[in-house]
Amino acid sequence: MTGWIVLGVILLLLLGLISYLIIIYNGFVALKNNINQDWSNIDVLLKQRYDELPKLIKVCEGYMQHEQQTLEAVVKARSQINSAHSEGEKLQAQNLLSDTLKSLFMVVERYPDLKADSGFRQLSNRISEIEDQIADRRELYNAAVTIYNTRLEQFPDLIIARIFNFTDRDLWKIDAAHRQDVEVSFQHG
Amino acid sequence: MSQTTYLIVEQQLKPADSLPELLKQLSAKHQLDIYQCRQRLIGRGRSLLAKGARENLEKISPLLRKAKVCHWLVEPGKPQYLPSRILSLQIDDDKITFICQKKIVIFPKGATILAVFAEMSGELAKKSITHLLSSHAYRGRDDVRHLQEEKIRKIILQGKPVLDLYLLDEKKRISAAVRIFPGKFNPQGLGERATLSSRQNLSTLLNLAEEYAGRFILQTDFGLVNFPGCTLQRETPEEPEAERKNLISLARYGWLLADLERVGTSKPPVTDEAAQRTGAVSATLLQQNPGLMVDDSAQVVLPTAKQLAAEINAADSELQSAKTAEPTVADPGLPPPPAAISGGQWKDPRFWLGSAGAVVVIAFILLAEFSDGRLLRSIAEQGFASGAIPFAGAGLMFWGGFYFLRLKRQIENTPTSRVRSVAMGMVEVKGQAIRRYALLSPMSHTPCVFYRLTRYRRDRNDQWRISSVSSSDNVPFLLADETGRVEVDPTGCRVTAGTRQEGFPGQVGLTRFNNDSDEKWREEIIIEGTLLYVLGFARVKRTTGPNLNERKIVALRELKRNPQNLQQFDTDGDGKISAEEWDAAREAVAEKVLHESLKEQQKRKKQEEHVLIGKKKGRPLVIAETHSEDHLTRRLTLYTLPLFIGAAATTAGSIYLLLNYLN
Repeated sequence: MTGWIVLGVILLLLLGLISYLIIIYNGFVALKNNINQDWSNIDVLLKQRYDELPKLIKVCEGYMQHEQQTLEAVVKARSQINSAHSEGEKLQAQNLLSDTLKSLFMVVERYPDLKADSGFRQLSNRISEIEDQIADRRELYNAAVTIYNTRLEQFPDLIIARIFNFTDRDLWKIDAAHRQDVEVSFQHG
Repeated sequence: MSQTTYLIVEQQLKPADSLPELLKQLSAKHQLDIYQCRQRLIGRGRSLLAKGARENLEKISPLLRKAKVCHWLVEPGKPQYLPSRILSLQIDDDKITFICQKKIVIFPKGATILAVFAEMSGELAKKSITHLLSSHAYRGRDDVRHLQEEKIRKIILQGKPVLDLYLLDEKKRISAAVRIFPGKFNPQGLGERATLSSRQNLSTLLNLAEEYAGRFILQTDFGLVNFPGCTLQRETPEEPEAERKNLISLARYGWLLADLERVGTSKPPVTDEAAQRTGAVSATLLQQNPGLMVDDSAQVVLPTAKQLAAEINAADSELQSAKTAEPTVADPGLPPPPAAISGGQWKDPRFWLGSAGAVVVIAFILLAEFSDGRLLRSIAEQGFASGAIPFAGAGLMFWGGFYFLRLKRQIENTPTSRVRSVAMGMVEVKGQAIRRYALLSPMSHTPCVFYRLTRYRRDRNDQWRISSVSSSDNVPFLLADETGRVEVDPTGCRVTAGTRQEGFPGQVGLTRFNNDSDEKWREEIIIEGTLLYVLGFARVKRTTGPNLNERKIVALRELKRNPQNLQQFDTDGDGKISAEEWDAAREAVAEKVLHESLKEQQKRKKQEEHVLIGKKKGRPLVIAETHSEDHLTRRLTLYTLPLFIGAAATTAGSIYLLLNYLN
């Protein structure tokens, strides 16, 4: 009879272990999909920003006749997103677009009439809002990747990860140029 | 030894913008307690801000003047005599004569009268506190509404009223004082105004005094103010002297008010709109008639000058009264919480599970009744002996353990989003709970975002049994972090509330009157402002307005009603709309409606207006009042481990029982 009890308990423990491993496996699947979803959610915002840009440029063109170079840079950066194929290229193109937009908003400071334009104000606020949301969602994406990568290295999760070949994911990184100190020069005029 | 000086302030109904700075200065420079100062500066009526040496208090005066707070510096004198109790009165055209026990007091017409209309039972203080609490609950700390003067007079009249009238001389000193109790004087002197109601007679006398006074000052704040020696004691059988002491306090209060009148207020600098407007009117007047500036005979030069001067005064007083009156603009405050949706339980699987359980229990009871308990006993004995019942219990424990384990891992695996950028789908947010509706907990009347009330009843075995559970899980609330606010719908969620309170029916405040009651309640609440953890499914809120087709129908109906607009579709100009022309009109309307709808959709709404975090079938919804996520997951681990251990032990036991049963 004792043998039966031992066998029953072993079976029970085995059942519990299998259930636990299933939970771990499902957790990995959920985490992987969460990361993909977080990435796609950033794309949604990038697309919104992409769609708002022509309107912004149209408003700016009327006032910034002498800043064609800046405007063209924005248009060019926007078109590069279309031609980008790989994830890395897309990321680079989006970063470039963010940079050109920053330059555009800096140049706008020289055009008080444009700054006062209600259409421009509305569009620039909208784009700033989207930029903030993009930043938040990048953080969220990085948080999701960190949780996933941590789980990959934790015991007993790493056993399941190795068996089912779950590999680590890359964090969203910024360009090396953005890590450099900002050089500020004061020109005496 | 110098006499103590009181610094008395006229309280502000609402905190002014300058208040935080004033409080900071009072604390830093004069070591006054910020909390107490705020309490004494905000409210209705007058309040003692500080007392001490005059030279110290005079240093505070400039700060108050800068913050536009009316205040007085006064050395309170002792009452030289108590007001004389009147027995009857006589009204003449030029005076009111009060006949008292030992003397006759005359109040001439046009004199300055200070009236203290007081409620001596404490009812006014009680109602004022109740009103403040409910106002605080519904409108928040910074928009507390006080009782209106009319309402106060009504409460005083309904309670235990006493009216003290002080006659002030030219130097604002008390020259005579009378005290009037309702029903304790002969109302015949009121003439035609006398009624059978003693309280009405008192009210009439008050109005009469106001009518005869050249300047009438009415104070109704006795019992609500915190002046030393002027407080109201509650009259109880244990305190027989309370009534006498209260009447002395009332006299002290009257004399103090007279002192305040005498010293006059230190008013804030005049930079208000009224002064500017008076200046503007005067300037216009002078511009039109420059002679006015030098000529004393202005009225001759300008016949309408007197009228204009009157106009200036009227405009001035109008603005002054507008400034002193309470804001009349209706403030909607928070809307009332939505009523619980009845019939919604049909969709809840827990309802069916519970019903099935109830049916099984009833079936067992019936079986037990019909078989004299033998059948039930036999089933129970067989179930335990074969290990089937322990095995079912073990299964339930396993299920529970895995449920909590999965939930724990889900919480750990979900990163925290910022409210501003919440994406649709499963999200985790953290922030402060804010009420969306004016929700109050049912027993403690606390402003809260969620409550769960459990009522217990004592059974025959002296054990507490749950008799009912109700909660506010149909009332959404807002969650705010540093980036924005989002709406949370707790429907279908087992909310973890941090504040728990127990009490008995009929409990007032913290005093329990009937501890031996057979009923008790337990209230779990999430107080407004608490930090919350929410894990749930974010989705776009359903718009409650008409759909595209309905809007199209409305637009077409409007078009039909307006022949002028319809005429633009009359392309052949025959004055009638043919079938083809009507089709064209319909198409144009459909296009217009679609265009408008798309335009509305494009308009970006606030997160709280278009995103809702709630329950989705098959997905967890966790709303917990917790310090940190780790704390929450630790708690779930504590649930999980005993369940697994218990399940393993019970399974082992049930195998043992089964093997025994088979042998």
